Amino acid sequence: MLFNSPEFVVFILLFCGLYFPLRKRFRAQNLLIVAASYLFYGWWDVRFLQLIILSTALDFMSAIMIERGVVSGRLRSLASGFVLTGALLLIGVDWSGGITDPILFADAQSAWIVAMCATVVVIANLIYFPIKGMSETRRRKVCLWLSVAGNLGILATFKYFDFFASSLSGMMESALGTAPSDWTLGFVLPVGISFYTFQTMSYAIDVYRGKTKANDRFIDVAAYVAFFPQLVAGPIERASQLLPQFAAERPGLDLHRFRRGLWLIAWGFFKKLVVADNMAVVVNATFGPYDGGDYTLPPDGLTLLVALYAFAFQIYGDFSGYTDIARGISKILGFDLMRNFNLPYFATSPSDFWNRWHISLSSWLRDYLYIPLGGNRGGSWKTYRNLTVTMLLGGLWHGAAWNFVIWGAYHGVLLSVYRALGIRTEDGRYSRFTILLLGILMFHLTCIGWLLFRAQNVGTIVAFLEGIILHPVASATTWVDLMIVLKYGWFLVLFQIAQGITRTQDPLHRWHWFARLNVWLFVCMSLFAMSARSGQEFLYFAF
Amino acid sequence: MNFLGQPGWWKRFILGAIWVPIGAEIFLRLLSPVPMLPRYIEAGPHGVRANMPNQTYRHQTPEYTVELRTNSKGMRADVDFPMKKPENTRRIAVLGDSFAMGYGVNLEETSLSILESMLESELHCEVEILNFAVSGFGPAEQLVVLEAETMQYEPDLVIQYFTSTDLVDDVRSGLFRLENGEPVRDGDTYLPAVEIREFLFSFAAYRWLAGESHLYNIVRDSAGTKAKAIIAMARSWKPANQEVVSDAKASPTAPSDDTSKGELTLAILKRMRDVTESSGAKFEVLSVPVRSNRSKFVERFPGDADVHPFITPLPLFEQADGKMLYWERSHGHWTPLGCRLVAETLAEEILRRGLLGAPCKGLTP
Repeated sequence: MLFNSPEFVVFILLFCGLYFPLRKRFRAQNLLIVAASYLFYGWWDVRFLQLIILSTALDFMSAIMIERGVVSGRLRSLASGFVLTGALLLIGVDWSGGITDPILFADAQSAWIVAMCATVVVIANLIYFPIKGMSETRRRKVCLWLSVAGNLGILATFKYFDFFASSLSGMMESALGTAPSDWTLGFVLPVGISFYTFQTMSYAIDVYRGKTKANDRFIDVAAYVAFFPQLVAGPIERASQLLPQFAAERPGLDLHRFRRGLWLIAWGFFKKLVVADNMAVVVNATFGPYDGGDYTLPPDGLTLLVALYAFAFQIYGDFSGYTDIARGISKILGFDLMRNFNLPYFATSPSDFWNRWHISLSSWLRDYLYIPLGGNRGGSWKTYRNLTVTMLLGGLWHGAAWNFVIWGAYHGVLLSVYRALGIRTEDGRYSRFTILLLGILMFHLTCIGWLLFRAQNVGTIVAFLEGIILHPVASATTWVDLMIVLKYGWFLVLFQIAQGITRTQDPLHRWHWFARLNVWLFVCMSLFAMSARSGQEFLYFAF
Repeated sequence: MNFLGQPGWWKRFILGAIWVPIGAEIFLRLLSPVPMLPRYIEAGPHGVRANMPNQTYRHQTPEYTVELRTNSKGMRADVDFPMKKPENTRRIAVLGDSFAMGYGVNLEETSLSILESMLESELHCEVEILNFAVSGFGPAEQLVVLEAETMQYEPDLVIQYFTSTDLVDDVRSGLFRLENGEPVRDGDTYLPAVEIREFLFSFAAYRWLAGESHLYNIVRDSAGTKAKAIIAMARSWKPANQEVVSDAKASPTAPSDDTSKGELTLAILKRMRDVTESSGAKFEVLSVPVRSNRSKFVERFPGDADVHPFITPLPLFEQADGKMLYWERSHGHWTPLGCRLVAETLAEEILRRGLLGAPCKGLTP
């Protein structure tokens, strides 16, 4: 269910009609959120709901075991029953679509799922007692690793198995001249799997680190994991920030909160439908032939550069637009989600960029990967290694393809090079002019990164770089494309400059009411008259 | 924060209410101009729509501004035509929608004006082309006009411009239903929003709004598109428990799919051919290709060409080397070049097959 679909409008109206009358009963609201979130997710593919349920049950149990070492029989029954009920409800669902050449679930898939879930439940209940008897230190570690292994296992199976299997198969064919039989599972990628597995994993880790308390209300945890506004494309929330909001009564819907939420929704739709989807026309037209394997170098290399700029707008508008809509809906429902983007193209260095772009992921990687690897504590070379490994895995998080790995490694190298050169823009030692130049440089380095991100093959990367550097010539197409980029991008840039100057996400409330009215008018009229005709799915659903 | 509790809220409210339409109009004019194609249409004498007679108005879009003029019978022409065909004159009657009417170009650039000139120079006869097209018309309405009026003008040839929207137009109008494969008159009238339109167009302020306001036009277009979709959906809807007993009982107002819509339209076209040929005239269909992009076009005529022959400019369009044949930001009608290629296609076909008879002798065009 896309935010910009008619089904979602009906869904959210019905949901609000049930949700707000329950404002004095937040537990009932949580139950409603869980049901609505499962409906929201199941609209795409009901089969993979069971993964969310499994992940929820796993971390619910793990967190309590880490903190207290004992889970009451009632809670164990509740978690077990939830998993089994989910599996039983899937009986009769058609499992064939999207699973090409299935190995695991060739026949009687529903029976397989019930059997597998029953096995998981039985094993979990059996190992509970030995774990309970362990020393505290050992028990905490075992439970933490069970949580991490479980979530990464789900991710590895459904997102990465086929990628590594086919890569290994390809390497063996190159080395031995013969290819082994097909090892791939042929799963479709469950929407949003990378987001919710990381979110739920952080819950168990934070409980282990003592940063948050284990919650013994299953529905609260289920609502935290599956909260529909941010379920499929983030922000990747931390349990310490979001879970307590489910455990308390929501703040009332006053005019300020409603206006703020509504603005975020409208601004998010503007970024998505007006900016990103119109930029997609330029991007698809330029990248299209290369995606199809035609690497003919155009005589007008600057057209390729404009397409890269357009993609920079597209991916930012698309992803941050989704985040804004998610934050706006949450705000109206009484939840505060974290800020995921902070004017990323105003960054002046790679570290500055990652403090501004997809903040929920970059801070996740910093806290749960970079720092545990040693961070910057082991000298220069270890720091470079840790940066590169972190960014490489961050790249792989985005998708099971080599271009994402290369993109991650590229950013790891950029971070290392800036660190090695001692370029630190955060401490205010450079002049404004130098900062401006560094900002322009960083934007173009980011665009090179987006080329690695968007290109579907090495030939495209080579052709683009060769075209831009060796044939920097404009044509009529270049100017037409540039005009499209300017037409749909200028207001976003202008508003972000205002955000930067006022150092606030919402400069509107500081402005005169007539200025506010005109900004609203501009955004609404843009949505009405300038939304792209061919809607594109949100790019980050694929991650 | 309580809006109504703020001092002077009502001043803001009133000022805002006044400013919003003005600001929206300025926004559209500067950033996203809207095609403004007002349709001067009224209830015709035969229960279907007709162009308002003796009107002069403009169509403005980001790509062009053209003037439309209608004669005393609502035809797009500067002259009136007598019902009785003058001697030594070959007469063509054209039925269709906005494509045939020549939306997007001035009168002298329409496919019919060009065709008229071409035929006159080749046949050395007076050639009159009577344009009975009305924007939004489908073949069902055209058949009504053909039977009631067009044939009285004694045409030698009737040309129907078929567009891809004709199938759904015929369903929506509900004027005919299929019975044993024949179109049977079902509804007496089809005058969608005509009364209100006539009422509104009687005000000069409204005519100004329709011809000059971008905001009005975008709202009207948007509402019109949605209303059309809802009407078509409602008329196509068939209760789940309603079984199709036979072709004869299947209502054309509730067709199950595109095939049944196509059958209705083809039956209407066949009736048009029969009516025309029974008066000794000839009948041809010109199918308007659908544009995919500047160099790719699709033929959407629903019938088998052997059973339902039609003329298409598709080959000439495809040879146009990607030149702009359809306006791209103005409801997609033909450009002057597109009109010229259509006229060439028709002229070549009419002359090759002698559809207007032999050339006149001793007459200079």
